[in-house]
Amino acid sequence: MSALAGDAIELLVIQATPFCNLDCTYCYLPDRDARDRASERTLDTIFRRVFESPFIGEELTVVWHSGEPLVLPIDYYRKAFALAEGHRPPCLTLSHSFQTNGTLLNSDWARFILQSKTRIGISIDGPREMHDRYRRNRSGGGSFDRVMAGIRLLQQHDVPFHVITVLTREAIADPEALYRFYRETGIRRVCFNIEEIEGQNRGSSLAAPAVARQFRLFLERFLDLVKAELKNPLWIREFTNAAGLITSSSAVATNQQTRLFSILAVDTKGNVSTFSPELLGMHSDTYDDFTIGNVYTHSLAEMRQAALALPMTIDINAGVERCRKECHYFGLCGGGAPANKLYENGSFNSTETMYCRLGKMAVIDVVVTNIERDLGLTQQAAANA
Amino acid sequence: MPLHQWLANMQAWRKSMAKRAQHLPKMVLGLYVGFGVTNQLSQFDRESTQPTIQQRIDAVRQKLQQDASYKVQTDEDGPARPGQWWNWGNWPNYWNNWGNSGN
Repeated sequence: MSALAGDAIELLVIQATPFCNLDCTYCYLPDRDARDRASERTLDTIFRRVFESPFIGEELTVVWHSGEPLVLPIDYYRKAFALAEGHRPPCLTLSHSFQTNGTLLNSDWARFILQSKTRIGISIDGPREMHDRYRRNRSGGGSFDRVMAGIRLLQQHDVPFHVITVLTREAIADPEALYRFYRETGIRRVCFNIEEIEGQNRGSSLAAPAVARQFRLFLERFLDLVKAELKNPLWIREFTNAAGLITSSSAVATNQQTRLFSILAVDTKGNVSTFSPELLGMHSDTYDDFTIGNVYTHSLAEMRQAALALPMTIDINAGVERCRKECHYFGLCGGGAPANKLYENGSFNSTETMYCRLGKMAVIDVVVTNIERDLGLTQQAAANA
Repeated sequence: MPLHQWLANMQAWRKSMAKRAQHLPKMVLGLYVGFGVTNQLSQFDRESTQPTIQQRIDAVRQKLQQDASYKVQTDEDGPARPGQWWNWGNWPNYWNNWGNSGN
């Protein structure tokens, strides 16, 4: 059965293990020392519950994340993918995706990723000095060399991949070095995340007020660098998404993090959460552990019904309504990121965050200014003034 | 100038200053209010003449609708010509954009 429009699960985040072989200074995960893993029975139950639910649309992506997925052996994923395939409705296009630190990649992984058509994103924060400052192994050393070895391996095997770079104060201070790094290493698809304040990470190098202007200058310079190369330019998710939103005719951008069930995240024990994936495994005095049920004891329909009345859902919806009333950027955002609201403002029922100011508003401002310039709207506005 | 004349001038000047000083608080208040109102008016003026982000985007969309030459479809290799870079298309929704990469 296909879900009604707007009701479908779009992203299923499965925490195969919370364990990570790295110990990045800005990581938000609280249990990254724990060596639990989702059992075969748990995975089977997750896929059965999800695929028999009325919330399945035409496409679904499973992201293996919230811990380093590649610390588990390849065979674990061979079985997991087979279990998923066993429950998949014929009408559903299912794809798998790894978000990994890349340090454990080898030729066997590369072949498996290629054969299974799994998408892969590697976390790398730029050249060695930018990356190693934050992304460290468990003995405190940098992880740059091992990540780059993983990237080169993917390139040798022609495995398509993207990278996620967490922008920190050091990165935004040197856009040229960051850009040069991508070009010299053959990285073509880049997603920028910002160093967010959430979960275990209670501060950010971007939190100082003076950084906002520097962040904007970084984006302006980086966009100029990208646009200067007409042949095979670097793809930057943030610029492309912002440009798509600005030039499309849709009234309000879709926001997966504020729509109940758009994203489901499941931990190793089968506990399910929704909205922002970072909420999985967290605890709050007001909202308890953010779970809406467990796959062993509840169907997804039951979880959804129960979730509607939870204080978490009520407060997130109230926060989105406040964004709608108070924020000029609402049409391009759809109500912010609940996890960031909670960890920065202390409540889901709130509005602007650093994530909004840097990750959304600054990007949109820079991109719209650039498009206005291209279209001659800036000169026109100046002439009219 | 004889001394008595100079002293008389000084006294007259002191009296005059003392009289003006009585009005000093009012003058300061007047200046404060005057500058405040002017500043508020100019702020109001600035805010009312600056388009909102949504108005700017509406203007972009309108311009794109008017000018068909901007509707060039491009592929992954990038824009067909400068100024077309925003036609790269949206990214699928599986590129996670939450939480410091978290792994």
